[in-house]
Amino acid sequence: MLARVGFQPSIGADDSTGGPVGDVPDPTPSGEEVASRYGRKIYNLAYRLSGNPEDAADLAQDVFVRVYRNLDRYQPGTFDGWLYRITKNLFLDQVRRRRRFRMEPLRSDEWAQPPSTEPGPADLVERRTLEASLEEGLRRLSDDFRLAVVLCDLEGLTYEEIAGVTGWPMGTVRSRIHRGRKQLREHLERAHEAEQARR
Amino acid sequence: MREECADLEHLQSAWLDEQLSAPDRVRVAAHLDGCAGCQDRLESLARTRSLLRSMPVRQIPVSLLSRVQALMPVTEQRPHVRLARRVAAVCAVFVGLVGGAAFGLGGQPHPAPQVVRVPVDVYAVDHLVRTVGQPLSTPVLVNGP
Repeated sequence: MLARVGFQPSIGADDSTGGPVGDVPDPTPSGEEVASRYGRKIYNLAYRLSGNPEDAADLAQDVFVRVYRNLDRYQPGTFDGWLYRITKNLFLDQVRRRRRFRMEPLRSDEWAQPPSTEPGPADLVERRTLEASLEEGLRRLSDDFRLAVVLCDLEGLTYEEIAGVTGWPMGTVRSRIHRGRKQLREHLERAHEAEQARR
Repeated sequence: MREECADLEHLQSAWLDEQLSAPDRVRVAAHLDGCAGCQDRLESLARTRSLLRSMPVRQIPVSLLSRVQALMPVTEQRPHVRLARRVAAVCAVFVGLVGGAAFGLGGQPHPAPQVVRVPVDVYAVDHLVRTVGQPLSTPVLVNGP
């Protein structure tokens, strides 16, 4: 979908219009369609960026408000790209406003626990442990690294598309994706070692 | 980590994502061929990327959906709904005008048909009485003086 329509090569701070991009422009959706078709995407992006359900709900709500207010200004182009730019800008606004998100690190004996205590096969528990570690690792990344990794690996954007959404030069995009992944890898390795030591 | 490893390590993500220029691809490939350490690092980086890409999608909380519904512009309607409502409004106005006009004129749009009963038997007897022994009657002669 994103690869099909492409992104604007460079986007400034203004996210009020979608811009004429791609060979198959996305038409302007109705408010209902924004909620039904893009709601989950908006919430998941907000969740990965903010790192907890409460801040994710607040951020997603801010995105919906801005989208609804500016829907008549959206020029059929890449609606996904427009949403990403709005979410990115509001996320960075939120970070600046709050100075810090609620990212209290878990205690060393907590992070290795699966998020759910319900019984299940060992591999399911291991999977949940891994996901919990990943989420914790994402929360620990700096805002820019997290944004780069989330857009690349969770949203599936290309480097060029990320440069379009964020306004970063390609070298910066490449560097932030790599450093973000590297820090995540190191976090997972530490978590794994701690888990081994605990057993 | 050797100096060459440090020089090329930052290119590993772009290598995985196939975002390197041709000269950089050649450099990284040549180095990976002979460096087990970098191969291990690349493999664990690829595993991390794979884990990230398989993270589960979260459902929107119901409370957020309710808030979003409340935020939706009140004039917001789908185009076909908007059109249907306009057509319905025009039809309603038309029906109202026609009905009002009919009511104002005092008649019923569709009056019940009247049944006229013709007393054929009475007319037949009357005809026989007046015409017995006479030539074929005509209305003028029958009603004449």
